[in-house]
Amino acid sequence: MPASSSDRPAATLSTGLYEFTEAQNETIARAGARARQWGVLSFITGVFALIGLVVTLVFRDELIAHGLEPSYTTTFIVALTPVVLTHLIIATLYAKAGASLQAVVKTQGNDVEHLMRSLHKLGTAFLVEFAIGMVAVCVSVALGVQMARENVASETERTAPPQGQDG
Amino acid sequence: MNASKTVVASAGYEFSPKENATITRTSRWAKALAVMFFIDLVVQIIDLNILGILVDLAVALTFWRGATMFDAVVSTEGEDVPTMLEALEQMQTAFTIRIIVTLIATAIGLLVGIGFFVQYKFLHDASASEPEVRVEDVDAPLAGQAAERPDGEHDAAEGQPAAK
Repeated sequence: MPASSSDRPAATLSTGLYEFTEAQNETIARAGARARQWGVLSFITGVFALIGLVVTLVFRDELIAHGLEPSYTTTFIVALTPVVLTHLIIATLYAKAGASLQAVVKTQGNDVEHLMRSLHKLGTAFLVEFAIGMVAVCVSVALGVQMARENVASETERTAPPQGQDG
Repeated sequence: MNASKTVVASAGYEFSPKENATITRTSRWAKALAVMFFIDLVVQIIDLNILGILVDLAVALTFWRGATMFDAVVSTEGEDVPTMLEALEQMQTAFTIRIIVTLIATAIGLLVGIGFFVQYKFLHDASASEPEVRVEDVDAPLAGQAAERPDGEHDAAEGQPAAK
């Protein structure tokens, strides 16, 4: 059954030789297809988010001039930036991980190596998502606290009697 | 039947230490990602975002289960391949949830974003250019109606077709 070969290059992630069965290949192919689809969708989402970010940045002053709260545009930019970064970076990693998983099914003789390559790329994608996601969560919490403070301040201002302000 | 036979037949394969290192790395970061989703879940609970809570919980749990399966591949013996396949199935589930949620969120985001942009860019611009509408060209009764509007605004969209 499984055989070991020591004559593989050092750059490889596996030394094992093993061929997955038909049933196992089906499971691997499904996981590969989903990973690939997620990669493609991540890219599309990243591009849409990038367009949204650019539009907001270009028309920011105009939007504010039309009465949009400046904090809303800031929130939008802060929320979109990690989305753009994460999705555009992980798109390639997930697509490649999916391709490696599908290579397990399509090729013969290198199944474990392809599986390991796929897992390595998945691990990197998870790492990138985690790192950017944590930064985004921290920034979002900070921004949320800041906005809550601003809301409380504006609410206090609104409830206080007007003192000769001209609208 | 066939599938269970093949799983039993392949149960003997053991991943090497080098392969186990790769699996452990993937497991570690899958767990980290699950933790991130659990943290986001707390934020969603504070926001009382029911949809966000459900999505984050589902994704976090599937990633966590997948990571646990990867760990099991490394820690156990004799069941490496079936456990690996179970881990991949968990990852597949996580990807499926994310694909569905992202498709819905992207569609909603696009609609809201375009609506927001159109509202602030074009509708406000249209109202800004209202003074250019020549009321004297409009039939007298309609012009009178427009002039008598309580808010004092003239509606170009209503006035222009009636002038013909």
